[in-house]
Amino acid sequence: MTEREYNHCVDLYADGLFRFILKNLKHGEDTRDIVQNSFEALWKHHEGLSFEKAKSWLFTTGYRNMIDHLRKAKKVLLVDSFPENAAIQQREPSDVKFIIQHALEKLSEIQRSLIMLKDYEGYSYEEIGEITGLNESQVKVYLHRARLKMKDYLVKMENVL
Amino acid sequence: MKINIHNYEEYLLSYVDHELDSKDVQEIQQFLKQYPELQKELELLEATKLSVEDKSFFPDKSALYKKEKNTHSKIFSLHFYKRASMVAAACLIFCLTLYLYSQNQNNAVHKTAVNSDTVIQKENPLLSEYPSKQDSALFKINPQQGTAIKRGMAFNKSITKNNHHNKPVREIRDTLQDKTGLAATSHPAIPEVTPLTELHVAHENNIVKQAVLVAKTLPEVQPESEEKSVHLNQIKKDEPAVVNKINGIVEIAATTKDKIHNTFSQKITDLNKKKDKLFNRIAHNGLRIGNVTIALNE
Repeated sequence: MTEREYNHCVDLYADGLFRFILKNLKHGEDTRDIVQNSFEALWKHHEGLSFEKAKSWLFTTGYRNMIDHLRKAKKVLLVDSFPENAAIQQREPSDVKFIIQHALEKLSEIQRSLIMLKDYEGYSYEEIGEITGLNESQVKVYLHRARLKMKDYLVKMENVL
Repeated sequence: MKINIHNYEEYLLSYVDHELDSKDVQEIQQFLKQYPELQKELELLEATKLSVEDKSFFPDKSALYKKEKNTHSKIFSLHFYKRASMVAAACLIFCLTLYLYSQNQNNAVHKTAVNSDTVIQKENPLLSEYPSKQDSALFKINPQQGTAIKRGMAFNKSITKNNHHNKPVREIRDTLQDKTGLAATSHPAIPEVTPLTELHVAHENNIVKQAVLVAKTLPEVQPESEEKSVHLNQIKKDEPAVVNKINGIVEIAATTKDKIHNTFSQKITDLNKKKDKLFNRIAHNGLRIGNVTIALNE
């Protein structure tokens, strides 16, 4: 990958990677550091990498950095269920997008990451597996489970109305 | 149909994720037609998809942009261009001198050599200091021969008929006219030519010498500092093919330089020989124009 292609990667993927990690960390400065470190690493390896591989390489590196960061901060929640105190009454409950965002926050880091890689970045199960280090069928199962939880949450909130 | 009421959920989820092949897509769509009550479930699943309306942007992209450091490739290209421009300069000088030489030689070889400072002055203002006594020294005409000319047929007619190298003839005619006071009619068909003189040759020699001098003094490319020489050594290690290529180019440049030098040295010698021969012949035999011979000796 040339210098020019690397800089093009910055234009194309910096925002996406930032958004992806920010949703998980919810901390702008930490997210910024992780994105910056990921691009530093990409630059270090740019000569041996093709432009086509750069995006998934970036997301893989970013994802690993993020998980490391969360583990260090002991924030990784491997709980596979919603906490019961879903206090979202302060916002307009009819706003489906808001409910979905809230539902997303209730997911585990891994589930949230899978949903975001699928919906925001449009990756296939196989590609998501490469980024997260899971196999394809694990990705499928985790994603489906996450999607059903979000659906249930949506139904629950609609019934509350 | 492999999709049924017990396993449809997995297909529906994969359908939402766009992970079904076209055959399965058709099947699930048909299945949904059979069970319209499941349409609501599909809508709910579609609603869980995140929209890409999120406006989070990385705050400072300029911190991420990178620029290649001034590494080997840059230094290499600098040296490469230096050398390439030298080769180009050498070729240009070669072509220029060849052109000048061939122009002068054409004129010199194909035309009769006659001394005439006025013509040279006309064509080359640089040579205007050329002493005019040369003229009288070379063109002193024997009075007897002068009579011979008078006796002969009309001077112009005879020379224009028998001699096709008309320009020098015209110059001689004009000179003779000045010296002898003979009347002569001008002939419009007489073309312009450049006669060869010692000064002319000297001038030409100067150009060629300068060209050879420039070619000789083309500087060798040397590393300018220790740092660069370290870089060069690194390049030699890393890119032997490129270094070989550069060496090849430098070799060609050196050969071209030598060729220019040799060729022109040879040509100058040849030209000088021809000139001397011609001058000797004229000095010895006089100048013969048609039926008329002009003795140039005193």
